[in-house]
Amino acid sequence: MPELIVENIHLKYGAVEVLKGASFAVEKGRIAALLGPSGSGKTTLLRTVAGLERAYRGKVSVSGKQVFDGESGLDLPAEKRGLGFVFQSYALWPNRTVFDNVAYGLRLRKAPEAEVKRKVGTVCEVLGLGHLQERFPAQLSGGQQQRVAIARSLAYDPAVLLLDEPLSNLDAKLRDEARAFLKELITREERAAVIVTHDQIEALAIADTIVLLNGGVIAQEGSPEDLYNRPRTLFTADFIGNNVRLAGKVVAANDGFATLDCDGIRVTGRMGQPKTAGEAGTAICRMDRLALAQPGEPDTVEMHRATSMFLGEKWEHVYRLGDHSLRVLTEGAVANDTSPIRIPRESVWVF
Amino acid sequence: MRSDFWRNNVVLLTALFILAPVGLILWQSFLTDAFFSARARTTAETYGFVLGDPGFRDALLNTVILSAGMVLIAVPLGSLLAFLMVRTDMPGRKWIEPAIFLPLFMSPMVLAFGYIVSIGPSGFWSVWWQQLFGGAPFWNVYSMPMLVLVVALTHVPHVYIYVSTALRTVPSDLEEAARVAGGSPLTVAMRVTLPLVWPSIAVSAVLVAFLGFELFGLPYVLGDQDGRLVLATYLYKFNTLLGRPAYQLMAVVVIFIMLVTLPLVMLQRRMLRSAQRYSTIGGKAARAHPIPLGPWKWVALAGVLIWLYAVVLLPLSGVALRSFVTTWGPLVAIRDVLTLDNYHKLADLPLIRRSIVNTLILAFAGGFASLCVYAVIGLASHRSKAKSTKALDFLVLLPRAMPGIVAGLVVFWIFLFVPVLKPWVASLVAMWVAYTLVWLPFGLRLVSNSFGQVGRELEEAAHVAGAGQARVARDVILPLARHGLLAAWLLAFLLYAREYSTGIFLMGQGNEVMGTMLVSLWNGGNIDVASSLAVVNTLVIAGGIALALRFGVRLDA
Ligand SMILES: Nc1ncnc2c1ncn2[C@@H]1O[C@H](COP(=O)(O)OP(=O)(O)O)[C@@H](O)[C@H]1O
Ligand SMILES: [Mg+2]
Repeated sequence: MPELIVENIHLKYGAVEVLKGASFAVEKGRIAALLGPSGSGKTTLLRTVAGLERAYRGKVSVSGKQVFDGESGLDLPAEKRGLGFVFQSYALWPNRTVFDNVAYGLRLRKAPEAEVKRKVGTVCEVLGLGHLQERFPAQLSGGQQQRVAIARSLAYDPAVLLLDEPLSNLDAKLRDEARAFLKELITREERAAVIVTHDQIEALAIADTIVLLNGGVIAQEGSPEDLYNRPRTLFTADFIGNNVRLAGKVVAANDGFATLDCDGIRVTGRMGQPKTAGEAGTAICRMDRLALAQPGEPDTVEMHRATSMFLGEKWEHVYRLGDHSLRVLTEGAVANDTSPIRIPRESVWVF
Repeated sequence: MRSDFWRNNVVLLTALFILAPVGLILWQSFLTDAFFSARARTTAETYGFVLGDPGFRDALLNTVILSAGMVLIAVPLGSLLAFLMVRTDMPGRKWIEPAIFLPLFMSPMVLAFGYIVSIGPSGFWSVWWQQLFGGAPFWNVYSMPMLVLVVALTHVPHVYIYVSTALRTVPSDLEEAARVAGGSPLTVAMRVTLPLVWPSIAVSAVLVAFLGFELFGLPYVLGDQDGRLVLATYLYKFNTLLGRPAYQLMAVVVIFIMLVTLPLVMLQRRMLRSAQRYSTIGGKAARAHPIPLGPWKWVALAGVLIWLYAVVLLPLSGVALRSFVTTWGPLVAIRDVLTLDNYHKLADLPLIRRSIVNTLILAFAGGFASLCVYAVIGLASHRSKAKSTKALDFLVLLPRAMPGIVAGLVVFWIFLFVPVLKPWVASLVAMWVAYTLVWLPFGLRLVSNSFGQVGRELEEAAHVAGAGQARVARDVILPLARHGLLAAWLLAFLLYAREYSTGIFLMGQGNEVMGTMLVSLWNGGNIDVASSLAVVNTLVIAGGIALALRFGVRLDA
């Protein structure tokens, strides 16, 4: 049975419906990422799970225990749900030392002081904060503050950990390290974790399941590979990965593949939904799969090279045809001014 | 959002605390006699009586004139002062700033004494004037124009607070752009800056008009000699006018006062909201580049100093000097009459000694107790979306519209009315209840503001970790708001130490406070002791102000 089950959450701010039936579940030792563009309701959903916002419909259960049920009016307050929450701002209490911040949940639970010391010590050790326990939050770097926030939410052993964009305040290098660390930690500590993020790379890297949220509804839920390789909606296909979007008309559709004519560029891709010839359609092409090809190969378009840039490891070229431009990466420099560009049909989705 | 139960209870109690007095006034105003009298019947004739009384019409007219005069004088001067302080390179701005707030904390009774003993008929300046020029001085401290001038000048800081706050949010590059385009400083001030702070000026005008209706001490001392009454002093007169207190008539007067002040308070609240919206559009306060005034800056400084002299130094020096002499008049030389007797009397008269001790207790411990009350109410409405707390927001307008003397009167009545409270009617407790009621809106605003500064997520983090509302308040909100709470306590201390009108009806044997003592000493014509007590009162307040500045408390809260 999943540690956290969220069913059909509906929530309004005033008259605006922000969540329109979001559901997902997380198993023990697993990480779910709530992914979605800014304003899609990720934070709101997480806060609803924690009991900081109140949904008007839906159910939430933690470790098999119902904590919210819109129908029966059951709504345990946040303090009774026994969850861990890491705020985007970290929300460390500035008037308490690291030790006191981390110890807070344990002290609330009336743990004996020796036990508090031991527990806090262990958690701080695990998070590499051992030597910082007497400091105040203002005396810590961003990365250290983030780890204190995590330590604080772990200290009292909540079964479910909710993290709201925990990495977004870190700089890029630190973020990569923290990501790996967080994943390892959650798996090892056997918690069920929900991480909110708007960064798809982060979600792909860290999550066992991705819950893709769009405008308050779940666009798709699945493993990172699922979402990347088998998008079921245009939104999913476009949101995940680095894509080129081409709009045009379906000229042929069979065997699960459709061919679009987009002002001169012909692309063929998997149909995300049934299409028939003559319909309008949109093709989503994974940018990193575009490559230079030999004349005569399938799935190619002859294009004109507008400019080239040396990026260090690779070259990036901009190819043009009519109003369209595609960016193509190669290992080495390119001499020809025109060249066929391969848009492999396995990496194209048509909706 | 959750456990609305205790919130509702707190709000309910607060509503009772506010509405009971108002209800009692209303009821009393329709009775033929005091509400506790067996002969009391319901009637509407009380209204007719008051409306038909020429004294009432005079008092109303005087109040309107005072209030209008205050607006006409204090608003332009206060706005000008704010402009000079915030926008120009007038010298000495740093040390003038705290001095501007002094009149806010000085007891009007002390000020009034100060004017009498400085420029009254036999005041120091009048006597010196006579000696220098012969003939009586050209001013008459008891005249209406003088009264208007005095109350207007002492209310300049109220305007200053609103306008200077607004001015600080106006980006100075707007002015600079106009100056680069060729505008002189004056044109820029009138054409660019003024329109941007209009809403705040308007708010302060409404505030000053409203304060005009609450005036008691200054018109009582400076206007009473000719029998010139304002509404508040007219109300006070009814206590003794007919041989015994005419409660039903007093209630009617209170109703009339509140019929004016309540709309003004509501108007001010609405205007303040839109003014705030206005000022946030202006965006972040930019680094201010002061407008150079050239040689005019010395003129400006002189003007400000003259004003400060008139409202602070002149009355205070008068009172101080008077407290060290036995008598004063045309043929008296200072060194012949110097004495410390007036201070010895303070210690010798048990009544006076008690009033000093009581004031300190009430200001210090009572201020703290009131702060606790405000904090509980503040916590009940903190981050609450419940309807009941919204209603509270509106309810506090009622005590706001109640002059201190009125609040004192109704608390007195409530204590008479409720049997269990009756033994306490002339105690410090009753005094404290009245003070707490009078300063409820102000205190609640202070604590709510400091609670509002606590980051929402800091509270939520504690909730999620397992803390209920009481624990969150204890562990997060109160500790993080402690500076604001300390500031509120110090301000309560200052206001309670200065308060005089609220206690007038509540004063009995044993609960005398300095402010009300000053009123009785004035009634009894005991200027010697009144002066030395006024000095002590001022020193207590000065000590409080020093402490507040030391803790970095903003006096213009
Ligand atoms: N307190 C609030 N009141 C009204 N609307 C809100 C509030 N908080 C968030 N919203 C709205 O709800 C939507 C979802 O917000 P949020 O959950 O913060 O999105 P995300 O975290 O995905 O960026 C947004 O459109 C936002 O404007
Ligand atoms: Mg968010």
